[in-house]
Amino acid sequence: MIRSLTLRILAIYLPLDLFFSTALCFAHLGLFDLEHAGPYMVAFAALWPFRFFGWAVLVASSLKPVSALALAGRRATDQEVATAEEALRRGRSRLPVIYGLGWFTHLALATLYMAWLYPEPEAVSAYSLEASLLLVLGVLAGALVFAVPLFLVLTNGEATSLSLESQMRGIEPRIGQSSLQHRITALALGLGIAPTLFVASLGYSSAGLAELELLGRDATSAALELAAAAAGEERVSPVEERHRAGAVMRRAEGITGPVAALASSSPVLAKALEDAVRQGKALSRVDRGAGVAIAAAPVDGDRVAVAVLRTSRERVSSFLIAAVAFVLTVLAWAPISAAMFSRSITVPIAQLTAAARKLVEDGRFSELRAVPVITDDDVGRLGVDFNHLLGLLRSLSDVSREIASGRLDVRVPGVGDLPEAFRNMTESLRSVVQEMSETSLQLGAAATEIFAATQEQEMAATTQSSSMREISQTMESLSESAAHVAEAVEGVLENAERTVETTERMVTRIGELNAHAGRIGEILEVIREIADRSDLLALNGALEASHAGEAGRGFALVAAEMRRLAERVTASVKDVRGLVEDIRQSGSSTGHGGEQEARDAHLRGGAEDHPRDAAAAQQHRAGLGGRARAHGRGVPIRRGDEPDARLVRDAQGSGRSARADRPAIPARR
Amino acid sequence: MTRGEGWMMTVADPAFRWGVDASRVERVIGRAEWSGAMPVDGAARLGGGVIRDEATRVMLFATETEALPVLARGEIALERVDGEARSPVPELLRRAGCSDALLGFVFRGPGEVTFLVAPKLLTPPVTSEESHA
Repeated sequence: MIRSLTLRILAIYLPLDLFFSTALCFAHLGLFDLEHAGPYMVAFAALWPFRFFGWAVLVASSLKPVSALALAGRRATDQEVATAEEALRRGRSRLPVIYGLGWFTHLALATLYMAWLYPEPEAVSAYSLEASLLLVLGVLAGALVFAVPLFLVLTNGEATSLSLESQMRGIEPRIGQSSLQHRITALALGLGIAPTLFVASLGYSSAGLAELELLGRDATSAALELAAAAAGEERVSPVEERHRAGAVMRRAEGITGPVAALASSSPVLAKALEDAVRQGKALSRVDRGAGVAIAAAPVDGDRVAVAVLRTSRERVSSFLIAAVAFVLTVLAWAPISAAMFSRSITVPIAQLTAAARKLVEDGRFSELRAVPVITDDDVGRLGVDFNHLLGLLRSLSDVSREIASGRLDVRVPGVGDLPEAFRNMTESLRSVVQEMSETSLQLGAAATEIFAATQEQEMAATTQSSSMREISQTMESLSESAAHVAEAVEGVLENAERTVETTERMVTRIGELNAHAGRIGEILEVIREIADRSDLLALNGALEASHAGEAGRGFALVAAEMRRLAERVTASVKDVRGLVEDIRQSGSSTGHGGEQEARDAHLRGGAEDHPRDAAAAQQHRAGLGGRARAHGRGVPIRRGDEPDARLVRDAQGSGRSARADRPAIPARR
Repeated sequence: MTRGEGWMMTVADPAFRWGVDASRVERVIGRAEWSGAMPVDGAARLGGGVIRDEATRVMLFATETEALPVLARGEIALERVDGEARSPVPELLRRAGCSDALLGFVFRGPGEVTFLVAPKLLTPPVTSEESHA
């Protein structure tokens, strides 16, 4: 099954259209009885794609919202559903009409082609053209009668789905103003006029063609009779009438007189007749376009009998008048008949519609009367069902009134969901009332118990009030202790700030001292190198002195003294370096400790924390006092405000935190 | 140095004290200042093992060919040695062939002895063979 609505429509219309196109092409050709029908068939076939595919494009574009909605599925918005429904509603009313107009245009253009552009204009009869016009009108009516119901049937599924979807989304359906009676009338007109026009066109064309054929035979007979009379030396009088002329012509003189004048209405045949007379040949031809028949019969070597007949259209016109009269009769009778028929259908429907509207708008179905059932068809059955529904609603309304008045044992008549729901509702109401009754009894008993418990609780509250006063006094004293602790904490924090400043200055000084100690170390290293070199120098001096023997004894003593000096210097340098290193290490450890202390003091006793701690202590103090005062006044105590050990723990916790903070600062220093 | 008295360059090596005749020492320089050939570790040559000590010095010994650098660890001192303080090499060692290397002992106190060694003992074996050749 083709899921796309557009493709399904085109798949049904295309083969039917091809069939009807072929049939109408040959039917139209049959009106003309042409020997060379090729040009017409080519022209008819060339117009077909424009008509059908043009309409197909229009269908696709008009029903595009419907296709888009099918693709979107459940994700479609309300706007898309409304647009698709509107597009389908318009398409159902307009597209088949456009299809019929396309057929009308197609055949009208083909007829115009015959009238003005056909390659053999003398072969195209005026009768056939007039019959074509009847056929074009018939095709228009027939196409509408064919296309409109078929299009409605093909799109009924989508229209139903869209209507249900719209109502489910709460979109108000748009109902047009078209009347069912008008539709039935139009259908009856189309059904009556279309075949009438078809038959009339075929008959008129056949009559015209037969008239022309008879005209040709008459012309030949007339020419032969004239020739026979002239050959028998009878005197032949020329025929000179409005639609016919005949005479015996001499070949040398050619055609003259009334015959030539009548023949001139068909220039082609006039030329052929002139040639036939001058050559002494027989001739018999008909010009359908001009409605003229010409015949020539040779009498002897010098003379030729000639006859020219032109159609009078009287006999044919009478047929046309009869056909048109019949069509007019159909046009007059069909609406009357259709109106009477449709009224028999629409009157009961109108009554049903009025009753339903009153039911919806007023809601007072108890005042509604049953709709009359006057037909035994579908509409009649609809009326019967409507009356049954109305009766059911009335009985349910009566039952509702009974329930409202307190009668819960009322019997609900009828079958189906609604009566069943009513029965369930009354049963549930009975259960609820029963439960309420039992619950009321239980509530009475419970109220008595609650009253007794309340009296006991009142006595206990009186006893508890004296205990509360004692606890309140304890809380007051605890609050004062917390205030003292808070003041001590504030003093400690001020000392911590001063310590931080001192420590920072000390760290700076120690840093400078470390820098000086480093410089001293560098100088000591130079002194140590000098002493070392002096030691070596003295050692080598002593060595040289030893090499010199007795002469170097004195120098050896000097060298030895120099070595002792150098060694003492080295030892002193080592001692001094040790001292400097001790100073540097002490300075570094002190500096690091001071920096750490300063950071801790900042973190602990920063400008943001001091007020917070103080405020916390004050708040705690106020809380203790406030609660104590509340207890002292005997204010009722809630469960969360029980003056139990929690308050005592809070006060003790504040004291502990204050004591823990006070020694913490010097310990870090 | 005569057997009676003379000058001796002693090295207070952490392993043991050793000394040489001061006349055989040309000069003493710092280890960092020495840029010549790799010096011979004196204590290691004498069997004292290798002990890393940054405070070392180089003694240059006079030989027939070129100066011999000897690495000396510990304190270096130039001492006059009396004949009484110097003890000869015992007969047992002399018969074992040690008299060429060990010239004697110098006692300064209880447990404090200085080995007086011959400079050729400090010469590396290869150098010694070449010199013999």
